[in-house]
Amino acid sequence: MEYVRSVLDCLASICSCWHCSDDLGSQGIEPSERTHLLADSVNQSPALRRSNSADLSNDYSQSLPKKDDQNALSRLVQNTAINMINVGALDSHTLEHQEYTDRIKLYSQRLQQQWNNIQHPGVVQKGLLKDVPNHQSYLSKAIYSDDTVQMRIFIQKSHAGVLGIQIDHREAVVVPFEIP
Amino acid sequence: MEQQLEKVLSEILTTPETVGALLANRQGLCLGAKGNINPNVSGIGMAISEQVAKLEPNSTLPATVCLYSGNKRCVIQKDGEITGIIYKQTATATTASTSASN
Amino acid sequence: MSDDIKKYFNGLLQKVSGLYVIQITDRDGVPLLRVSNSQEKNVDFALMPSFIPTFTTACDQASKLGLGRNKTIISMYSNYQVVQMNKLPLILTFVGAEDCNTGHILALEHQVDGYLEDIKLAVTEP
Repeated sequence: MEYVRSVLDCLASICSCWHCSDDLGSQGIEPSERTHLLADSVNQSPALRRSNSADLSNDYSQSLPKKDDQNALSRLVQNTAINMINVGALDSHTLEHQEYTDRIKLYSQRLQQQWNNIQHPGVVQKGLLKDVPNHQSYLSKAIYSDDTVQMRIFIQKSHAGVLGIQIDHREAVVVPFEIP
Repeated sequence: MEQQLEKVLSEILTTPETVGALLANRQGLCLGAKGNINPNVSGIGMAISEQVAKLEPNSTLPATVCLYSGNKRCVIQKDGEITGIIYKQTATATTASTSASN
Repeated sequence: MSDDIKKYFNGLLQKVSGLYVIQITDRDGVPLLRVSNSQEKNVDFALMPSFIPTFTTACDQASKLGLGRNKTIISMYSNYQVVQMNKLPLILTFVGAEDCNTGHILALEHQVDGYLEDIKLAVTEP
């Protein structure tokens, strides 16, 4: 019994550890519509924290903590599943045709409604330089020959520079990604 | 890997009045930028020079675009696969206008 | 009227040469808005039932690489390029020619952000 308990404690601490790293990095387990709300709340619940502390061994006689352990385990499995990069397990979540058309209708309806309440950005002025007074003087601006010369040199050197781009790998070719 | 390119960009920044320089590839993606210039302008810069190039479709020389705004100006040129953008700033204020030359 | 917004996105489409389609969908691929260059190629594949959900999954998986949340995926094909942006609950998709100005497409992102905020309201429950 003690052994099982220590293993569970260990698992629970890994669990909570993961949880803090989530808060820091907010990787993967950002709350989205795909995260299970129930499992989340269990991890936060005082009941689980109670089972973590060592002095409540008599709780084991009751059925409630057992359930918490179950939840902690399922939470663990869920976390692993969420963190694992698994391209094979593509969501086979495709919409029924009926739902698809229903949603199109719903969205267009809502867009239609909203668009009446939204302030549209003002009409763009037509015509060039209408917003600047005394535009004649700006139109007669000379082009600095320095600029064109500088640009020509820049482009020339850049062409050579771009050709000089090459990969010189110094570290291992296969690098493990920093998976939290 | 791209030290040569970095060196070119740094060199350009030593020219008087130059505050930023950027280089874009044929997809309008930034190959390198130095100084006070946002790497996100690479696409727009290339789009501008492509539009300007349409004015003289038969020209073999690459067009240079100069945009004037206040005491700053922006010089753009697209030559073959790459587009260069240089931001320049003068101490005295000049005002907004656009012009293009070949 | 949503004609305004269609006009706005059509304007964007004209600005980038070689851009065929701009579409806004929800994460399951249900279209909210789609503007396309009718003379250009047939790019209906962007609305295939599996197209957008595949992007959503790829985006989810790519977010696990330890590099932060995945924002944009650019896919280059022999005849097309597809730029998809994760604007959950919306997905913004651009389809263009292979030699289309990718940098320009990416620069459109912050221009449309304001409009997307409004469109988001249609997807989220009131």
